Amino acid sequence: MKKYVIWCKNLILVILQYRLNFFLSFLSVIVPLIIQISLWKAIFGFTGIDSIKGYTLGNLIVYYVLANWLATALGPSMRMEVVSDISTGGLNHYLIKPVNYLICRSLDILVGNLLFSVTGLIIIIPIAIFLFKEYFIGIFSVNCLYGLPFVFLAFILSIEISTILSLMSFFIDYTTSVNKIQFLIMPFLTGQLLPIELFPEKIKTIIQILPFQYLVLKPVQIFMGKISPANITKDILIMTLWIALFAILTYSMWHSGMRRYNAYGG
Amino acid sequence: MRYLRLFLRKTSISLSSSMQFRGNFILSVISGILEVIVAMLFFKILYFNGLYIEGWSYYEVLFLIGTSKLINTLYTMTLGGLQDIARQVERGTFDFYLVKPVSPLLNISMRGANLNDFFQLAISLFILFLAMANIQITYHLYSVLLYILLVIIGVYLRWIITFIISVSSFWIIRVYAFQALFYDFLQIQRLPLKIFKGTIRFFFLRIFPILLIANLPVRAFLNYNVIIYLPSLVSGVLVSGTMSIYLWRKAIRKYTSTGS
Repeated sequence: MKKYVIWCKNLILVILQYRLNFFLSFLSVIVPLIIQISLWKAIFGFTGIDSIKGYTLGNLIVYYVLANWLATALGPSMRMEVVSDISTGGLNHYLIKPVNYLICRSLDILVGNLLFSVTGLIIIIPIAIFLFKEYFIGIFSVNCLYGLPFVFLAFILSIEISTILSLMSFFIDYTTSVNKIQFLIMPFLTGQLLPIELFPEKIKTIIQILPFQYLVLKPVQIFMGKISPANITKDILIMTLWIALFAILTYSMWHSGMRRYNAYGG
Repeated sequence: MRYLRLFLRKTSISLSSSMQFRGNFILSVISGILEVIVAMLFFKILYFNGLYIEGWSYYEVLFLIGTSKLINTLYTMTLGGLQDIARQVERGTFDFYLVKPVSPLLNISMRGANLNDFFQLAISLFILFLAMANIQITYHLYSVLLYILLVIIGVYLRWIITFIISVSSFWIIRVYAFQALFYDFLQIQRLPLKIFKGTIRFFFLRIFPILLIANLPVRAFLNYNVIIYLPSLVSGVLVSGTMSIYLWRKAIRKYTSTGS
């Protein structure tokens, strides 16, 4: 256990070494937010409507603030360190050490994302509340009690999906393009781009079947009080099942990948 | 002429090497198609819900998306190697470009077109023709010619703005978050400029004219008045052009090699 604590401490030091890069990455939350808010303000102005499918302009602003923050903290992505370890033989260094590679790399994602989301909470959310405080009234109260444990489970789910994506490099060579594809479709499937209520029925059904909605859409809906406590319990159960399923998949991919691994270079 | 030969030679190398990695090539084509589908779907859903941007029909927005993709593809095909500056500077291997008997800036910018670029070009043209078939306007030859000219200016603007961002790698070694931020901002080029107001509009029209890159050719093609944007275009080109020359001179003096 102690070795993993040291691993986490080192990770924090590495992240903070490139502080400018770290803080600039917060702007990558703010930029899409500016674009989305400008677009929706314009649309509401042009069409003259008060709300769309239960969302007022204020609701949408809150939705996008939370969705962008969660998407950056929980959005799954292919871990290039893992891809590089597998393709260049860097994995050898870990295999001969008394550490579990999957735990180490999962901690990479967890520490990076936690640091980002906590700093995000301290920086982005207060700024957003300051700018749009009338829309945030009532959001961060009882709903947080349900939302925070949900976000914790979403963290685990996100780590598993990222690990599965990264372990694909055991089986395919062209991981960059796979990563690009997932970057393109994930905002749609997680609900970062649009609230699910706006989607046509067929697409809505697909999104509701897939697990990606638990990363952004569901936590945002919980924070906004759009899901009843009974449904939150149901969602937690389904998410736990997805977590178990992905744990099995990660384990199988790792073992079958290790049988194919050639340990070149290193 | 020398640069044209260099470009053709690089394209020839790039074409043959892209065919070596067929799997990657197929996935790159798929990701290019998906990029357009996601953008189309986003606006389709908005218009499906009765939401719209004043003065823009769905197919006009589609034409803007197609133009934006066309400009980005033309930029990637011709001058798209610029992003590589950050990696070369970080590794200290930029010397390879400095010692060659051609402009290092043009040399690194011209990475040569690959097969995927030609497919992306075909996708852009398909989107444009699809939109044109559904837009009810009378096309004029001068609008088409103006559109082509403004697309070329768009490619130039795209290059010069990318340059200003990439050149920051001479001062900030790990510049990736900065570049990611820039790519986020680039997304606004495929949105109608009518959406943006106040400071954002001023900044992206007059200082970093990202909003003009695709909007201006589309407005010209759809027979709207583009003369009103001439001051923005001139100031944008002048400000970003002057800034880029100044930064390049400073950057070259700042560069430290690793002795490779």
